[in-house]
Amino acid sequence: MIRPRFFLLMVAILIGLVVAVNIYAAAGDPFIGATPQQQVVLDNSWNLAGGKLRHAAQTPRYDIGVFGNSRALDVNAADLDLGPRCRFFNFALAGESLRGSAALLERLAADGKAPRLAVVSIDNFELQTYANPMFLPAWPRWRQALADLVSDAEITWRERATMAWRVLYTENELAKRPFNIELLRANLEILLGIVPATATTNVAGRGYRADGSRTQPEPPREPPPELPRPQSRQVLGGYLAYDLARLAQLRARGTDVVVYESSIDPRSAARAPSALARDGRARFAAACRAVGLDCHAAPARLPGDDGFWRDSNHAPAAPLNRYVRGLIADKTGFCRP
Amino acid sequence: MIFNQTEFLFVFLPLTLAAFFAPGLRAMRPYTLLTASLVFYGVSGIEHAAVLAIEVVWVYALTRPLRAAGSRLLLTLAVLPPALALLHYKYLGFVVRTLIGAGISADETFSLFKATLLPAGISFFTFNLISFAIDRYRGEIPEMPPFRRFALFIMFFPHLVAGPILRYRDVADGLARLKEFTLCNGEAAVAIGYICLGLAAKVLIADTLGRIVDPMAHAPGTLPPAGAAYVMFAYSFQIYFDFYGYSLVAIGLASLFGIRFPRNFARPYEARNPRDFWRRWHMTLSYWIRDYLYLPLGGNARYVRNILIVFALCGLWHGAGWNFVVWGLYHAGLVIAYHFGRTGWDRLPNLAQIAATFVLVSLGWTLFLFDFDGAQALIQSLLGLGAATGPSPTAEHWVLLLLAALACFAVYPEAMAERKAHRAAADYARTAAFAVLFVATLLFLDRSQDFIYFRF
Repeated sequence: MIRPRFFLLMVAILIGLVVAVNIYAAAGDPFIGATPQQQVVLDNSWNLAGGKLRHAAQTPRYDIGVFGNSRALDVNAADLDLGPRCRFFNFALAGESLRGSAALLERLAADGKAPRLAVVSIDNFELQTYANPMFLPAWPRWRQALADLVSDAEITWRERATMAWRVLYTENELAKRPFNIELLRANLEILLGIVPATATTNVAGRGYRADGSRTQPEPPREPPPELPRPQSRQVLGGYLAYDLARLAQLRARGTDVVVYESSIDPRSAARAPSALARDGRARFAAACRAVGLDCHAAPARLPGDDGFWRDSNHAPAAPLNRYVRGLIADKTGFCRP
Repeated sequence: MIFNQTEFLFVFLPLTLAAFFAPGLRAMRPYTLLTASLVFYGVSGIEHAAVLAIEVVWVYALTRPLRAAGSRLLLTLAVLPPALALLHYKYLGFVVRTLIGAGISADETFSLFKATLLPAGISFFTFNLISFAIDRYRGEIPEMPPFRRFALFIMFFPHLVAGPILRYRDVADGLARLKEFTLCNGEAAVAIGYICLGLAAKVLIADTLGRIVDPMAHAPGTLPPAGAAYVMFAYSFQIYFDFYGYSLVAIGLASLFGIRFPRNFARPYEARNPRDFWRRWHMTLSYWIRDYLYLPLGGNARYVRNILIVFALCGLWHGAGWNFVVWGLYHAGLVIAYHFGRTGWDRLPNLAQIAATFVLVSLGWTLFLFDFDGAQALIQSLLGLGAATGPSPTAEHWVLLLLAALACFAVYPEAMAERKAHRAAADYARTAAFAVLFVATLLFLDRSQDFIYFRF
């Protein structure tokens, strides 16, 4: 007959082993050995997050860093045309939000690794996405969540309650993440030496460049379906102002910050903005003004954009890089001889 | 909320157990379980939880008076609202579609049907409510239980959404002794075993087969004969392990709180004939139909008529569609055919009887998986009359089907959970094996599907 206490102990040990395998298999810096001509193959975003954080810890402070999520991952050093004196790294993590970018920047700043210029992408307000940090390690994440909840900033109780619920939701999602048979198998293969911890390839295709940015195949030659209208308010105005103020405080630590709203495809952008997006943008502008942050609402059309997007809210690399290059043109003097 | 969710296993269940066994809350146990059950059900929709709560209060109020025993009026009044709710949520669209004629969607015709979602498990809890009301009418529940106990009988989360279908007498003792219940090691061991094996049956076997069957079943008319046979048998095992797994988990969960649920399956695919199958498959539904429908209709006195009626209704209980009615009538035909051809059938070797029953039952499940056109297309493919351009099962698919068959015919899960070893070392080894099975199940939980019987 099953011994209940021993069963619970065994389950705890086995779960611990699964988590440990996932942590230790992704313990290296996947970007450190890659040359600019190579691409790093990372199969899951969990490894990517840890890899970028470790990379930052092991390299000198960067001049320019990009923060955001999949909508900013295509921003890269070559397309920004920064020149050889400028050290650039893309810290964006698929699935991350402005709250996560702020937390990540603060963490880098605490270690003296925050870049001299941080370019932060905030999701277009038509998307109404505003999640909590996901990729920080557990303790800093929980400390941050507590600090966010008890902050004396002007945040309503309703927003605090919503944020508390979202913290629970995020933690629940993160707790489930290691329990995936493919992830475990891939990481076991790494630990057992069956496959290298980070594969690199010289073949152009989907992967990550040595500068942390992502390469993707060209989008299809047709416009994407229009973006659906947002149905409910997700952006919490109080926390938006609070997070932007956190970013502004980084200037005191030697990091200049530019925040830009990610673009949506030209057809969707040509429509009248939704009430939720209008309100979000107004709050964004007001909060930026209040703390003196350099913020930019999404343009109607990115420079040189032909309208052929993979989907309605992930801008193609070329126009996105042109746009970001324009945003930071007058802030990168330190890169020039 | 469902059993194969990490939120259920790692948040809801531990919190409920902790509250239930908290030393200072012993007297509150019925309320703890009621609250937990409402949360369990309410997570998927407050409106549906409200419907359930109103029905519980209504049936209790109407069956409480002493004169409820023997009062047809009170019985009718008690069961009418739950029956009407079932009709509204589950059958109204079907009825209207049937009345208006094929090809017109009631959803498009009547705004009444728009945004009407079927409350999970409505067929199950409606049958529980009706059984209580009838038992009370028949005088089989002479003493009315307190409301909290009655409400818990209906709403207790392990059986709320997919059974087993209970009769009050099945659980009356356990419900009455909730406050005194102490979970001993033996009971906990069996409960853990049931939960582990039930989850494994669902997540590792049923869902794995489902992932193979689903893409193949998209175009049944294009399957080669081997593909059609594979879909038929794989779905047969899928639905079995899906529902059997649910029932095992439900029994295990209930016993953690001191409530013993009746068995719902007795190795149904080892049935030797169609009648035997219904004594082994979803037994609590079979008993319900026997006690509240078949016997009141006259039982064996008008065998053919009554079998046709109860099986047609059994099919309709499973789903609001003519394919389900025909599935019920198909089984009625099998049972009646066996009744009249029993002498010849019983002379067949045991293995042939079991195999024939299994094939006939599996053929019937195609009406669960497909509508009429789909089932017809699958049967044509099975006979080699299809286009045969669709996918054929791979060797890996056949191996998985073989493993499912082995798990079905050669593994005795209840015995595995209940078996005592003579040596402690063997117990520890078995415990470790169960822990490995549980964690392996967790690794596949992210791709697990809803239980098939939830839609009923």
